[in-house]
Amino acid sequence: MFPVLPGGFPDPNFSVGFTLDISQVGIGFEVAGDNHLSTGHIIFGMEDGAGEMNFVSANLRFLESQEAGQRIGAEYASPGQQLFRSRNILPFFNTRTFQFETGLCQEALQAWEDCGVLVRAMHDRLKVCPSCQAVPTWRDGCPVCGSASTRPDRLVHHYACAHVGRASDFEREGEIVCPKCRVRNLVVGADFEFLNGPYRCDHCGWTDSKLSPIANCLSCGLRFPGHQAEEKSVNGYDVKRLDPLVYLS
Amino acid sequence: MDTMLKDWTHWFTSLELHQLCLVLMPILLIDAPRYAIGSLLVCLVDLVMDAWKKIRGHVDAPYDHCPSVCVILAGLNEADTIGATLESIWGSYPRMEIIVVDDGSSDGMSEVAERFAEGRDQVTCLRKPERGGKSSALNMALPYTRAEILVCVDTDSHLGPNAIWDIVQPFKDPGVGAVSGTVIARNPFANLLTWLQGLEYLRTIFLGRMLSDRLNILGIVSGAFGAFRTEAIQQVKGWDVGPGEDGDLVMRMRKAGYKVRFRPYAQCLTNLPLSAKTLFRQRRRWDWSVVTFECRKHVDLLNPFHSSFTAGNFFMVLERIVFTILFQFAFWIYAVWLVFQMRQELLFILVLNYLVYLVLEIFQFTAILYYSLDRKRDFRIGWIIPLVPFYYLFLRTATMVAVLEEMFTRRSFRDNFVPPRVRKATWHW
Repeated sequence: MFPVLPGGFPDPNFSVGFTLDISQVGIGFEVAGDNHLSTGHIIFGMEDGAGEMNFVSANLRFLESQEAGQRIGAEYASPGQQLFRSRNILPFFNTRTFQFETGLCQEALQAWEDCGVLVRAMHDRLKVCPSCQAVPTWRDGCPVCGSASTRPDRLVHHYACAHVGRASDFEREGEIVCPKCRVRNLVVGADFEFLNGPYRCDHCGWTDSKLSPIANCLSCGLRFPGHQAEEKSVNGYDVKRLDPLVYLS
Repeated sequence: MDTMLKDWTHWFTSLELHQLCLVLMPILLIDAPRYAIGSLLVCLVDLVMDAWKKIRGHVDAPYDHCPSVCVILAGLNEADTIGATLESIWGSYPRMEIIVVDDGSSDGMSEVAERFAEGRDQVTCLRKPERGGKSSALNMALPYTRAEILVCVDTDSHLGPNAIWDIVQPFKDPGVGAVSGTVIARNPFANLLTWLQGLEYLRTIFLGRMLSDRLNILGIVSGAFGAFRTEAIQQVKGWDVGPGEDGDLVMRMRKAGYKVRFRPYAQCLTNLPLSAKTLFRQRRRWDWSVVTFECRKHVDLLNPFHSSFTAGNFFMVLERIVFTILFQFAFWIYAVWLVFQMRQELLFILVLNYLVYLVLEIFQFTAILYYSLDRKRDFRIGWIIPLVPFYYLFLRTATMVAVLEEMFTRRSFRDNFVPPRVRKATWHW
C-alpha cells in the first residue's frame, strides 16, 4: 500500500499487509505496524495467481487501529480520479509548449517506476529544438542560411558544342540561340536538352544539387540545420491494473 | 652465336655513313630529335644552372601565389574511387572549393560525393540525369564557380603532395591561361604492360612536356590534371565535344593569345589500363584527335596570314602533324621497304636499331632520374627499358590504325566516348 503524496509522488513509507475483503467497489485489508497514513489517496497493490502485482487507486474510507496493526477500508477511485489514468502516464502533445508531456511530472513517474509500480515504455523518438526541447517544423532549405527561398536552375545543354548554361542565357528575341556557338533556332531533343541544375538560394547565392533539412522551432522560433537537432525519447508508462472481478471469481 | 656476332660486327663496320643513316632512319627522324636529344640538352642546361645556383647560394622561392581555386571532378560511374579522390584533394590548399559533377552515373557516385559534402560548405555536387559526355559535365560546373583558377582532376586519380600549390604558381603571369600538371602511374608494377606505360609516362609526359614547355610548343593539358584561368576558359566558352577535348581547349586558348605552361612537380597519380585491348583503345582515342584537331579544326594555326598565327602555335601543330602522322607513315613505309629490299640484312638492321634505341632510352632515362622526385621508384621502373622498343612498336601500330581510320572514316565521331545523341548533333570536323 502506497499513500499518494501531493504532486502524485509515492510516500516512501509504504506498508505491507494482507487482504481481508475485496468487492467491486472497494477493498479491506490489514497492515502491520501503526504507520500514520499521510494522505487519504492510496495505491493498493495485490499479488495475483501468477505472482505478479496489480495496482489500483483508492480513497480511504475506514481506518481502525488494532494491537497488531491497522485495519483499512478503501473505495476504488472513479476512472477520472485514478492516479494512473492515461492522461497522467501516457505522453500527449501540449499545444501551448509544443512539447510532449505527461499529466504526472517526470520525477513522480520515475519515483513510481523505482517503486516497481510503473513500467517505462518508449513511445517514440523525436528530433527537438536544441534550445527549448520543443517540436519544430521541418522543411528542405538552404544549408548555409536556412532560407526556404530556393529554386532549381533550369539549364540547357547544347549537344553540338557541349555548352551548358542557364536557360535564360539561351533566350534571345523569342528564339533559342546558343550563346557559345551562336547557332539559332535550336530544337529541343534534337539539338539540346533541358537539365535541372542545382538549387540556388535567393538570399545567399548558395548552389548545390541537394537541399538540407531545416527546422523551425514552434516554441522559441529558433531556425537551425537538421543535424543540430537534439534527439529525444518520448516515454510513457504502463501499469498492471487490478481487476476485482478476477479475485471475486 | 659467336659466328653471328662476328657477322654482325663485320656488317656494321662495313657500313658507310649514308648507309648507317638509311638503316637508322626511323630513330634519327622520329625518336632521337623528338625526345632523346632535346631532353638531354635541357637536362645539361639545367645541370649547369642548378650547379650555378648552388654556388651562388640561391634558394628557390616558396609558393607565394595563392589564387582562389575551384577543383572540378567530372566523372561517370566512379562511386568506388570518388571518395578517395576527394580525400586526397580536401585540405590540400587553403582557398579551395570543389565541384563534383556526376555525368548521369548509375552506381551512386553522386551519393558518395554528397555524403562527403555534408558539413563541408566548399564542396558542391551537381548531377546530370543522363550521360552527356565529359565536356558538358565540365562545362556544367562553369556557371557555379567564382574562383580565379579551375583545376580539373580525373575522378579516379590522386594528387601528389602540394600539387595544387605547385600548379597555380605560373598564374602569377597574367598571360598564362593553362598549366599542365604531370600525370604519373599509380600502378606501374601491376603487370608488364603497366610497367611499360609507367616508363612511357615518365618519358613523354614528365620529360617530354618539360621540353615542349621550354620550346613553347606545349599543346596539351591532360584532362587528368590541369589548371585553367577561369577568365580564359570563359573567353573560349569552355570545352567542346570530345574525344580529345583537353587538347582542343588548349589550342583554342593558345589561339586566344594565352600561354600554356607545364609544372613537372605538380603530380597526379592515375590508374593505367591493365590490358592490351584497353590500352589500344585508349591510344586510338588519343591519336584520333591529332587528325581531328591539328589537321582539321585548328589547321589555321599553320597559316601565317591568320590573326592567331605565332611561331609557337605554328611549331606546336607542325610537331604533332609531322611526328604523329607523317613520320608514322614514313616508319611503316621504311618497315615494308626493309622487308622487301633488305631481306638478307634484315636481322642485322633490326639488332642495330634495337641497340641504338636502347642507348637513346638510357640517355633519356638518365635525364628522368636527374629530375625525378622519387628516384628509387623511377629507377625500378627503368629496368623495363630492354622491352621498350617492342612496346613502342605496339603503340605505333595503334597510332597508325587511329590516324588511318580517322582520316578516312572520321571514326572518333562514332566512338562511345560521347553518347549517340551528342555525337549525332555535333560538328564532324
